[in-house]
Amino acid sequence: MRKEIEQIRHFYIHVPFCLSKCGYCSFYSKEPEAGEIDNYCRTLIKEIAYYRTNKKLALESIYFGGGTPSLLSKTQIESILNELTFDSACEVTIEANPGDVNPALADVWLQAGINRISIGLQSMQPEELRILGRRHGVEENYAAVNTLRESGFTNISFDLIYGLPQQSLADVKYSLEEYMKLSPEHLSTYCLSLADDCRLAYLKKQLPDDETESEMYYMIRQVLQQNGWQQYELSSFSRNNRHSVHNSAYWQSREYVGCGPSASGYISGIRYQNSANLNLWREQVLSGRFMPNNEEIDETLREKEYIILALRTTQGFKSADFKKEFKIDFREKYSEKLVKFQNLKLLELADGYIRLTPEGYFISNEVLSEFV
Amino acid sequence: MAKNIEIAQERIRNFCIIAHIDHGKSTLADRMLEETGVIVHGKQLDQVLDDMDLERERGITIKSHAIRLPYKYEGKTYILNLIDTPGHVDFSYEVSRSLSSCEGALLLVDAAQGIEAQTMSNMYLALENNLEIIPVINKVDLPKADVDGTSHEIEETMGVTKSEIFRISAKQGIGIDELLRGVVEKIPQPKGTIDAPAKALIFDSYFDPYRGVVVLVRVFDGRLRRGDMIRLFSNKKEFKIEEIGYLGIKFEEQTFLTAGEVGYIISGIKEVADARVGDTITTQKGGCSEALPGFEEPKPMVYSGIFPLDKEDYGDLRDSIAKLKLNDYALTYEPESSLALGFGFRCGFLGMLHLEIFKERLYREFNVQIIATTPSVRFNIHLTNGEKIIIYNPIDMPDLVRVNFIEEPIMDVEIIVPAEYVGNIMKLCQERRGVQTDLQYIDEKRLSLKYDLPLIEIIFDFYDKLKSVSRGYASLDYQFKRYQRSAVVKVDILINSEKVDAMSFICHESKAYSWGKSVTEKLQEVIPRQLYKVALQASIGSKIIARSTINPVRKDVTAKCYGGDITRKRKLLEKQKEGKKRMKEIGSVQVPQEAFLEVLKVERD
Repeated sequence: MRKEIEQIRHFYIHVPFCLSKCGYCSFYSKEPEAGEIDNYCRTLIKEIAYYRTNKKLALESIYFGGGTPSLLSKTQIESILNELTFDSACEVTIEANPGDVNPALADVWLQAGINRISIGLQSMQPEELRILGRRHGVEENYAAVNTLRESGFTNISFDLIYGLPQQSLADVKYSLEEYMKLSPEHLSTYCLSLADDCRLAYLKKQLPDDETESEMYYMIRQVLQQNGWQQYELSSFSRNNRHSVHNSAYWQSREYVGCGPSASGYISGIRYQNSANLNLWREQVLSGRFMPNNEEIDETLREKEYIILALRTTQGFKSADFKKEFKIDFREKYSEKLVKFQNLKLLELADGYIRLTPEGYFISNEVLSEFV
Repeated sequence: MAKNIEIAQERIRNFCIIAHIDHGKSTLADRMLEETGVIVHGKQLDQVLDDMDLERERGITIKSHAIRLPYKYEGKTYILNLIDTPGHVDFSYEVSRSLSSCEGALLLVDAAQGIEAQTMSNMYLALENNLEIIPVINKVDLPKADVDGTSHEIEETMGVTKSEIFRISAKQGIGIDELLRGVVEKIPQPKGTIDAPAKALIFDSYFDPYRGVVVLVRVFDGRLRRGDMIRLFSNKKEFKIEEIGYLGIKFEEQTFLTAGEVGYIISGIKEVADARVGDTITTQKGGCSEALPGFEEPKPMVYSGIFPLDKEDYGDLRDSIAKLKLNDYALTYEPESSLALGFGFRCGFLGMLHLEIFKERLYREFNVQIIATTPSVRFNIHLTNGEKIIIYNPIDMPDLVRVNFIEEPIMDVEIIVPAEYVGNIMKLCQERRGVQTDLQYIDEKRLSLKYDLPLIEIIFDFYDKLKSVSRGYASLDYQFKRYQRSAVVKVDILINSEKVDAMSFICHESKAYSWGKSVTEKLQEVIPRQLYKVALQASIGSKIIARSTINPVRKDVTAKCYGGDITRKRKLLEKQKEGKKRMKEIGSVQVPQEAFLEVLKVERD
């Protein structure tokens, strides 16, 4: 069922600049040259204006991702957010590098309407931050969080990277326990993977083996649960129900606008992807080629996406909702796979929901790949 | 239409060049072509005689060819027919037929390398055929050339004097004219009877997509004419000669070929299996009553199951093999089906090189990708009821209780090697169950070792091992000797208790444990982790002789959807699914195609 007339509730803005590239990163980013961020903002505003004018927006979340959105100045942030209409109920997140956080900038964010910070602490071990090539130290991690709290932010998410070369279970646990002391509302965990074209690719052989990484994952999960946290997605945890509204939208197959280089979007049943290159993206926007590189999500694809996205959430999806959405009985259509994975204890059927079992979380692709 | 220029037999010389790979045979042939004006220097294709890509790349001649060189000697034009010979042990029968089309041979030896095993065995073949042998040392210009040493070696081996040995550099064109004079002076003229019934030997045949099979012949007696009905001795098939002629750079059409001459025949033959090397051609009317000696049916020695990598390509594979067969009379094939690999063919080859060439041609000329199963040889199985069966596929091995004893093929192997490596070679041959039958010094520096070696031990990387333990200096030659009673066993490979028919192999019982272990260990490496524990076993009958385990998958997760890039994530999962689809499911285990290829490469020591 197409939802042509429906409003778009989510907005992603990609900020492609980084002062330095982390060793594990293989995504497009560049060091900003003089005037380049201003120039980027002018283009971005044109792009946002297009969607604002041509689509119906009723925003529930805005997300500044990167790159390093914390490089944006007061004027830049304000000029971007001025383009969008939203109220205080809208979740507005910015990804921040701990090294960029200071009281003045925190105030700017608050004034501009940003109410959620996703801060890239990554680890509480100095040596690990050094290996990863982060431009901040552990002291800056503590300081940044304190500054944000003092400024009045009440919704902060931490990033945790685990599975570093030669890392032990105790190493991960240490960072996690230090995080707990700072009482974040949300935690995103990432198992380090090193693409062949990243700077740290040579360390690939020193990464912990699958068994150890699996142990780390389930250890993190256990420690968090013991501390009253809730896991709501494969790598996302929250306290007091402070789920990420924005990320949840992805897992619910919601439509969203994506602006900025390399951003993807999903509007009126079409997924698109902007050029990752700053100049090519600018050309796209200036020449009016919006929603480039697009793919129509027909009912077959929409169904596949629905399954692989919803199964990333710990709740899974309701068989009844699936039927309402696609006029298909999931349990009938996929009975063979369902039985197979139920027998392997990787999928479970409970209270009308279909979901992964915790045993299935860290090998979820084994299950998901059977549904595409 | 060209008119025949009658050439008297006294002006004809038929000869070939015996040489080891890389000793400069093709370069010498090129120089002779230039020297006789057949091609103009600087304009020729490189190494005219090797006209298949594959041959040139591997530096070996797979099929023999021939070329006619008109050469002025003391004011008279002589016709020198140079007949090329394949330079690999797999094709020794073809070599013998080429040799028997000649009256003489140049024995070409690299001044830096000395005499090699194949050169020796071909020299003996030439002597058996009563050929006049002219020893030639090539590459005398090279800085590392040991001309006197090589000369000494030849003198010792052949019992000739220094003055009888020609010294040339084919590359630099040194000594070529003298050598051509030598060919005229030393090699005897052909001695056929022109008015006897026609009798011609097929020394080569190949399939041309536009003209059908081209048959290369040496006429021994009588005359073959365009329009003649001819008969082949081996299969009694009859054909009409549509075209006949000499082999220049191009076909030179004539009206007939006479006793002593070498040339080609085109006569509507559809596949080379109908015009086999060594067969005798005569005329339907007034033909000769006896064939020339030496014809043999091709005898495949090595067998392998050939399956399409993608099941869908079975039709392509079938058509491609049929086309290759048009040009490869020694290739045999029959349908085979495997539980693991589906439908394919059990193919027979003269040897491992023949198999390698076959695989590469399938890929290069027909773009068919295949899985070849572990090679096997022919075993004679003597059953308890007194019956004897021949198997060349491990899956055909009868139940052990029905087997009285088994015989395996033993090869007569000659290895020539510098003295300092003899120890290594002896160790290698011993490991491969070899029995030494002879050891002789060729000269002060080099020895000839003779072994009885089971063929099954030779087909698994023996040649590579031989080269590595002798730093490349050992050379090898072998031929079938006899069948011998042997304690061979069939080893099965099981994945989660299910037998993988395509991975079974037959080996000596003393090797079964280590080979079985190597295979299960290799599979452990190449089969990805599954959702459950996977047991890999090697067994003889019901007895497990080796075992490995693949632990279940513990990590397979995509951490993050960067900026909600769902499409990328979906495509990764689709790729994963596709990857699984391409695997073979055996005992509910997903086995990648590479597993079958990797098993072939396993070390077998």
